[in-house]
Amino acid sequence: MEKSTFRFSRIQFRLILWGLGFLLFFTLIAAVAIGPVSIPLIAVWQIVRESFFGSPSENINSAYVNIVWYLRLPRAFQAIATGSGLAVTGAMMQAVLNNPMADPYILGISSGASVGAVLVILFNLFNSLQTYALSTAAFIGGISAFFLVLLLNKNRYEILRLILSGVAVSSALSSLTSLLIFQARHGEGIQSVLFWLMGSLARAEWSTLPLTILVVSFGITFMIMSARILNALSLGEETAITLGVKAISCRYSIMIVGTLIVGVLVAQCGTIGFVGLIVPHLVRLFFGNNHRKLIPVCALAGSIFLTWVDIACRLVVKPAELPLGILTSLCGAPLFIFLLDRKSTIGIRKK
Amino acid sequence: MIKVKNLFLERGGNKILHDISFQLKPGSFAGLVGPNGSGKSSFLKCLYRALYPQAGFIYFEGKPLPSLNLKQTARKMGVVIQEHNTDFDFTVFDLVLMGRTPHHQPWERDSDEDYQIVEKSLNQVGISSLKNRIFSTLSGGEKQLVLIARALAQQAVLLILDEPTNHLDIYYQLEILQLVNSLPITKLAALHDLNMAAQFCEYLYFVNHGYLVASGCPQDVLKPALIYDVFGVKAIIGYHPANQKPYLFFQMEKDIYDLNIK
Amino acid sequence: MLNSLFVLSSLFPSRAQTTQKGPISVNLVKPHRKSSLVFLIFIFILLLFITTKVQASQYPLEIDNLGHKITYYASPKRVVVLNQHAIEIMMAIGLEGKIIGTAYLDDEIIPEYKEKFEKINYLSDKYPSQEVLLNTDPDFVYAGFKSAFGTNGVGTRDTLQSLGINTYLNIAHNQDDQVNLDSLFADFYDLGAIFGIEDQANDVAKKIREEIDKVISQIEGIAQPVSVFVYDSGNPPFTAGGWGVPNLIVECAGGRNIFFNLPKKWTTVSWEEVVAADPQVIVLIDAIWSPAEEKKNFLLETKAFRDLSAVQNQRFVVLPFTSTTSVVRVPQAIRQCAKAFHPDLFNE
Repeated sequence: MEKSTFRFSRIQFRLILWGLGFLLFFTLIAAVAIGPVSIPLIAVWQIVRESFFGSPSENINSAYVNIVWYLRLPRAFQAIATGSGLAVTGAMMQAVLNNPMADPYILGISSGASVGAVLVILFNLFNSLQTYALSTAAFIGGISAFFLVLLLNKNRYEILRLILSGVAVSSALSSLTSLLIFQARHGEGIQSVLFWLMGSLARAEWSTLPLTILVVSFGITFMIMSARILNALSLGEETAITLGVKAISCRYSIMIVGTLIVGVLVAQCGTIGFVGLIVPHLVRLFFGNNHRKLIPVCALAGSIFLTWVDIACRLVVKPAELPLGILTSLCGAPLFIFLLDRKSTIGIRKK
Repeated sequence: MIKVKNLFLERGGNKILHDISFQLKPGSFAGLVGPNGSGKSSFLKCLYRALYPQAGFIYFEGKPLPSLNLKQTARKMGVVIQEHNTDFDFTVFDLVLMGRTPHHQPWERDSDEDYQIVEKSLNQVGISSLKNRIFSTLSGGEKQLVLIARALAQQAVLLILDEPTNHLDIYYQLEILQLVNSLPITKLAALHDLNMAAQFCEYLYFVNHGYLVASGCPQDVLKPALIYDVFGVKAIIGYHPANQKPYLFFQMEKDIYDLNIK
Repeated sequence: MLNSLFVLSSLFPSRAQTTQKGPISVNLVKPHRKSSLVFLIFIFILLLFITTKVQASQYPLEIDNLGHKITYYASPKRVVVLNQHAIEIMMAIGLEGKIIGTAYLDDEIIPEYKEKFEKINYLSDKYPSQEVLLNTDPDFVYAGFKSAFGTNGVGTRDTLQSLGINTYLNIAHNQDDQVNLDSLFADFYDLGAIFGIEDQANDVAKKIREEIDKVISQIEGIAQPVSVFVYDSGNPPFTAGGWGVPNLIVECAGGRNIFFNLPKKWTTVSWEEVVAADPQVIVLIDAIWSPAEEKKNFLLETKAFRDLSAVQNQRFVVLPFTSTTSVVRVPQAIRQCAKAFHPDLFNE
């Protein structure tokens, strides 16, 4: 008797969502309490409590206050927002492009953003914008690359062509990035570029957080509301049409919304790989492809995953820091392979 | 129900359909037959709006098709086609549930009524026991049954099937055609097997090189000359012993054929 | 040699003259004193002659430079110098006459050397390709960073060796160990030996060393070194570890790099550690690709750093990037840091 691996009852699913929610909350606490500098838990709690309602009292070490409130807490929120945003847009891209290998960056965003970032880090582009130069350049670069891909596909509606133009544009812009790095004046700037290319949450701060949280919340809500359409699209263009879904216009509108969200995330944190590609697959192993369930669970799973990886990045080589991209792949890949082996979905044919 | 007038279709510079006109009788099971490349699939695509004809009219329940939006058509027209994206796995239940899509706004949840309709459709098709199975683990025949159930969940009044019995073993070929025949809605299926078509369809439409060359009941329209004309093979018309419906016996020997096949 | 012996012998009075008694023998004392003076001068000239000959036979000379053993049979004549700090060392020793080509400046060469530098062919802003290098027909390549002999450089040391080109790599920046005041000057001694101008080279090294020692002595007797954070670039920040030249500069100037215990020349760290360590002074490395002003504004504006003593007291030191690479600039850098770290000891 073949037992379903996906069919959780509505109650069971709700419980799972609550469970993941608690896990996320616990992860948030861990991200604020753990770090290269050991701060006692009581102090952390005191700092958070007091800072939330005003300014913290004088008796706490000001260094601790600054670390917990200005470094760790915004970084934790950034990790949560970014992880969920990337996982959800990854799932969206895979549905919309009918391609399990799609990730949020497939249509050129990461390479475009890299060009912008390298121009700022190594060539001082947008100097007048100071600290906002990097995010601005990365956002403009990423979105421009995406619209270039769309432009190359004007009036052409085959998905394969869209993906291939994305690959072509990505390659071209990656080469451009490499060329710029090569032309750079000195080796030391390259560390910064490396961190950007592999992603880092170190730049998180309170001032940029509201935008990120707003954008990601909007994105996740939009995707949940479009769950039906994503389900239909993932069955194929024609099938979607037979179910009453305007396949082409929906595909484009959903992609554009998703890409704008990814653009904002990439502008803040650089290109964090792996999350958008693998988290949706990981979630599908347990919950199937119904986007009504897939999207919310991806959001929770992605945020939990990325936050823990960020904690590891700060601890593994302390006091030094690792770029995120290294650990997302290093941790995620074996985990995924392990789960893949455990949950075989090949059923037995009934006769 | 469906009325087609002077339909012309062109794709990539090639003329696919020429001046097709026909009308489907409500409640009947019509078969669309013709060799590969004759335009059968393209014609169906025009009906279920995956393709747009260059000229001609399609009326669905009296209204011209372009005047209806995709959702409105989807509420009445169910389609069973060969596009299977098995990379993504849905359960049978979820897949059939997606038939309710045209009846809701994208953000609306599925109601209890939807669940009931799905259960009913599964029952009607006889696959209730499969409802928690993952679609990609099913056999070809079972998959087709699921798609039919989905069309039923759409509460379609017209069911279009594009070669539903391709690659299926004889058991499922018969099961599916019997099931389709038993449904109280209008049905149009593109079929490869002329004998199956003769057995189950009330009307047959012959398409060749984009032209509608013949239409009518199987008894009237299945003639050796027509078969030879359209398919390039020689056949003797016999009768199925069980129900006296026309049954084609194809001549197998090669040297009897001329090699001038159009 | 024989001639001089002959001359020598003629200076000695003959027996016939000395045997005379009386007033004649008294007269002989004066010319005796004069001749011994001349004799001594002659011995001196002879010794000088001998010693230079001995010095002239120092070749063949074997030098082990960071694992590469090279034997020199003569002083190199056509030298190509890569990287700014290597160029400045060559100029400091006075070997600019032997340089036929330079490459890879980081910023402006020291003003004192500018005229001399401009007379030499500047081959490239970065490392020239191997072809361009070979076109200049060098017999010696002196590089500041090992990347010069890496994939983007002029060729590996072994390849160049097989083409008859000897190579030398700056020790301070490329040794797999902590740099100290001795290794900082190691190049001078080696180059002096290779080019046969040891005294000259040693003198220059000594002078620079004396300048450094002067500053060190001025800050003698400080109770405690000042805690310092060296900020090169980036977010998360790229900083100096315990093994590099910036760390050495800070230590000599009476400071303690908060990351002194990291066994690396440069590394990326987390801001948390910086905030927890609360440095009293922040050294900003100024480079074209990362201006100090930008970094200072970033530190002053970010809320997380507002309680750092360095930020509150605005104690910043700006060091040009090249002062962390070029030993010629190190004394000035140490002086600048020392003044900033211990202003009370420098009231002039």
